[in-house]
Amino acid sequence: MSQVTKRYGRTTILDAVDLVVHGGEVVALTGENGAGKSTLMKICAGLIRCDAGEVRVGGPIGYCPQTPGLFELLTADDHLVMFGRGAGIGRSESLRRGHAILEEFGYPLHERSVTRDLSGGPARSSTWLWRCWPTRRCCCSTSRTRGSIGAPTSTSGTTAACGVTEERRSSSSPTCWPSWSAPTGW
Amino acid sequence: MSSMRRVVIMAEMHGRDLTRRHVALGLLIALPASFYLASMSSGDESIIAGGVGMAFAVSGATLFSILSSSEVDQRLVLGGYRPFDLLIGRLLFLGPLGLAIAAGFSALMITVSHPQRPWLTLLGVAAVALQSIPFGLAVGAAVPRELEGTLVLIGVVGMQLAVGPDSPVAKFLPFYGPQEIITASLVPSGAVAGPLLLTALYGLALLVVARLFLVRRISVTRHPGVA
Repeated sequence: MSQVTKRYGRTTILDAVDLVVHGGEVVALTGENGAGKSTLMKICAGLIRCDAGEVRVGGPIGYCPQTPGLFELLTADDHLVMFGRGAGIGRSESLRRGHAILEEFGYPLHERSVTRDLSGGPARSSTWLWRCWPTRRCCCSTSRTRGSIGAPTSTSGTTAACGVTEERRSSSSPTCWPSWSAPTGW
Repeated sequence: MSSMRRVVIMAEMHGRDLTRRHVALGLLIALPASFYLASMSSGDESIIAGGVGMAFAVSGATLFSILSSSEVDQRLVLGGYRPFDLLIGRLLFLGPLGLAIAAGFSALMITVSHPQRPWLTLLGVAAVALQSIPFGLAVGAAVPRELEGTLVLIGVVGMQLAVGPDSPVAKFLPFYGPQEIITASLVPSGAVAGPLLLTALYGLALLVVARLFLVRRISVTRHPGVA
């Protein structure tokens, strides 16, 4: 992305931000509350428009926000079928590919609970899944803790990613950590 | 073909979601029934109250269907769905559900109150059910918060029940056409084609409004590829 600028009213949230993420890289952005990390990721994913600047991507983008944002009364399988269909994948193939990813994250596949009843671990796994859906080549994620960015040990098919942590720091704008090493399988 | 498949999957998932909300489903049936039973002492008026009261139930279910999934909707669009798929998917599930409730509820009212033209009662209540879906979708898309959306819904349907059919205000409300059909079912004669056409046009306009607001809210930017 180059010269990306975003304003809300008179407040400039992002001012001419430049960022390049190459295939195989994991880049973490850190900054205090309101620094614009989530806004930057949403612009990357295409969820909001920037006022100026340009974003170019190397393929479809996956996005994993802070809140799960799933149907609370659907099961993981229901979500696999639904998101799979959006990507043009049939029911059984969606389940096969989805189960393979969920298994990597230690999701209890025998678990038939709806999203609302999932405990923390499985819920996080299913959220990560949307970020790592096999058709996604670039992924954006936002999280309140740095630990959850590094949580998955494998994300098949992903070649570039941005992770965002939210922690108290003195800087007022997002800080880029391009040197963060990628977990196994990235 | 793939668009149709996306629409069918959306309908299926909304169906799965709603059928797991047992209390909500119970209320969906109990609400119009309570309107009808509470106003039974007022004679034929109870059929109008019950019929239009069904708008609360079906449009309420539609409203919550669209508001409870607002976070997921944009993610689905990012994942390959079109806003139109999401809209029509909901319509595809809620339409038959509304019609099934309308059929059962009409049977109850026809058996108990004996309207003069029972088939028109069925048609009028079915028109209320079908009109409630684009109405709920339009309110949910235009007013993206539950409290405000519910208040709009209560206000509009409540006004429809409160104002007389001869009032000029009544003619601008979404359930005027269906209300006229139900009223016509209580007397031996009365025009039906006009109210039916009005219902269809109003429903279509509400769907257009819903689509406009939904597209604005959940559309995503497709970035150009790297050189």
